[in-house]
Amino acid sequence: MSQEAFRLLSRAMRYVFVLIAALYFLLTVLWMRRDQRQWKKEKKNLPDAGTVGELVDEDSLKRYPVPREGTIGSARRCDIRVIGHGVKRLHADIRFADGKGLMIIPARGAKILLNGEPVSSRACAGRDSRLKIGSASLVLKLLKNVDAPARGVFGDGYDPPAEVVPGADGWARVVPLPEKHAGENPGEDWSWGDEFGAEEPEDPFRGVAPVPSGRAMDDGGEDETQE
Amino acid sequence: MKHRSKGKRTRRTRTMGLTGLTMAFTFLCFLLLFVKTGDLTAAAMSVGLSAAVWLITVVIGGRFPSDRLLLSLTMFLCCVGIVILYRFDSGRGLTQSLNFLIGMGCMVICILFVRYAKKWGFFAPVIMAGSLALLLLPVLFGHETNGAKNWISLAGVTFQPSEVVKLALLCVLAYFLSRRKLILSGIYAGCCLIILMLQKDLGTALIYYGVTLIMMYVSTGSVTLVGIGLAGGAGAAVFGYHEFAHVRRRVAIWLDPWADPAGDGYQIVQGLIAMANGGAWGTGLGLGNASTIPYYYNDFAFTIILNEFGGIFGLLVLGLYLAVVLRGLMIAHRADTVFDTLLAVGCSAQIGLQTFVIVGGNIKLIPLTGVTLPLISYGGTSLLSSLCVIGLLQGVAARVQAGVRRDRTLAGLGGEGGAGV
Repeated sequence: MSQEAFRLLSRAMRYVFVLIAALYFLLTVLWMRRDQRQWKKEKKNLPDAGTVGELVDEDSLKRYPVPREGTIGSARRCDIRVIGHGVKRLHADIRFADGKGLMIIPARGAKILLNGEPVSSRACAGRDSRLKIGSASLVLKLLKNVDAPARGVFGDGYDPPAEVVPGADGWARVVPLPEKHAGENPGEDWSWGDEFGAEEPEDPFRGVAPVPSGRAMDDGGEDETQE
Repeated sequence: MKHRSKGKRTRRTRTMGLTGLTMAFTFLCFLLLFVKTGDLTAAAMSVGLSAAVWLITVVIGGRFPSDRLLLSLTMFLCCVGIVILYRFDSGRGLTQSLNFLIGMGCMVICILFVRYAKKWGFFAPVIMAGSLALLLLPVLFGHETNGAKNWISLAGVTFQPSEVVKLALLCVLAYFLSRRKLILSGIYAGCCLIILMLQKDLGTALIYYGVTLIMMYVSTGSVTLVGIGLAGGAGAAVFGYHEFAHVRRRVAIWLDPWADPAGDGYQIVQGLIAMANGGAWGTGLGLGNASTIPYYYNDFAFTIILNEFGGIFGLLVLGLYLAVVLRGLMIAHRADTVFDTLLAVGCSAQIGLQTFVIVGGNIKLIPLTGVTLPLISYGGTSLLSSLCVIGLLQGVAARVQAGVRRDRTLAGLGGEGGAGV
């Protein structure tokens, strides 16, 4: 091909290349917009996406969604903001590990009781574990299908038994039972869950306050979000 | 089930649309070069590279967990790079094509590593120690090129360790910052910056510094910390200006390249002329004269694009870089864990900053530094490093996808999500 013919061809092709790049850019923008819209829709269907359950305040019955990884404290930037006496701005880090439960790593100088035992460096909380953070008493309610042990696996695995009683204001209260109710072997009596084949007790919070999530908690109740 | 297959079909159609455009661009460019020179290699490249693009889309997009939009964008930018390199020097074009294929393999390794690695507590300190040792090698055994001592030769292979350490910086900072080890992160980043200053590789140091600052801000949300970091950076810049002669020279060239257009300012002046020659639509592929610019294949890749394809095409290319960065931030926003978020933010910041630094240098917005244009500029280490950064981002995207599937399973909605990431 002659130089002149190539010059003409190349100059004509400039517009084709710009057209291709413009189309490419346009398709990219459209893809990103559609994808973002689809993601929002997905999130609407899964309001609890990224969470593993809830921490329920035993006194106020306030429910805090528990993310797979996050922080607990009184600061606004904490994922779980607990206001109360003795709660530090950043009180603890939490991290969920499949099969192990919710790992709790207290911040320096922060005091946490897990099932009545102080947590020094880190500990794993299981289903229905009780956390005492400052003046706040919280119960961990994990989602039904989440892979976690039945109770906290901290220390010797023994948790003091508790029961639900009606409070003076009409709300339910979870109160520890006297030691004698636990029987000779407390672990046998209070190791709820599938691994022991024990019958699950009635959910202390059923009917007390609505679960804001779209997913069922592991409370023995009906799964409300079947397709 | 119907919803699921529709979602998959839509994604496939979109992917094939973008892949088709990349293939068309590559095919037409190489065909034009074949018409110009009659070089059969160009004809083979027009078919071979297009086929490779299609194959990569099918294999990586279909078989490995990845974000297909990011994959398509990466391939388009790489193809633009290969075309402009081949147009001036077929040898460089072929080497870049080979690096592209190797880089895609490395990208897959990075995707799988981020997706499935669990023992980051073990990996992070090992990577940290290894990367510092690697970064020190050029100071001890390296040779100086263009004022910076940042290249080493190992077993006949010449490479830039700072490009490899970029990946380490992202992983280590993401891990330690996610574990609230701010001081350790700061010490590590500081050590990297000091070693880069010793190498006089200030362009790379600028990128490391920017990425560290952004990741620290995202991790802590502390404006005070960013203020201290900025003050430290300003101090280091003043120190660098007074201590390094080549920095002073580059600033002087940037301020007035026309003071010595045939000497020190030659590179910038030629670059500016080439850009002006290109205009809005370019001179046409094969008709430009940008090869007169020293290191055109490395430092001035964007100028070549502006010269031959024109300003409009150049803006669209910048738009695609912006899309890569935005996609990275979308992935970061959707990530479940702090580590994933920080890693994705770091990768996006690195690509964005590197593009800004070199494009800004090309258009005389900031002083020119010797960094490469990610995915486009010539250089094996640079291309591999950029593709690995994309691989890390893809790995986080794969974890997001797995998270969506897990959440849907937990909610009893079935495993397949509708969203692209």
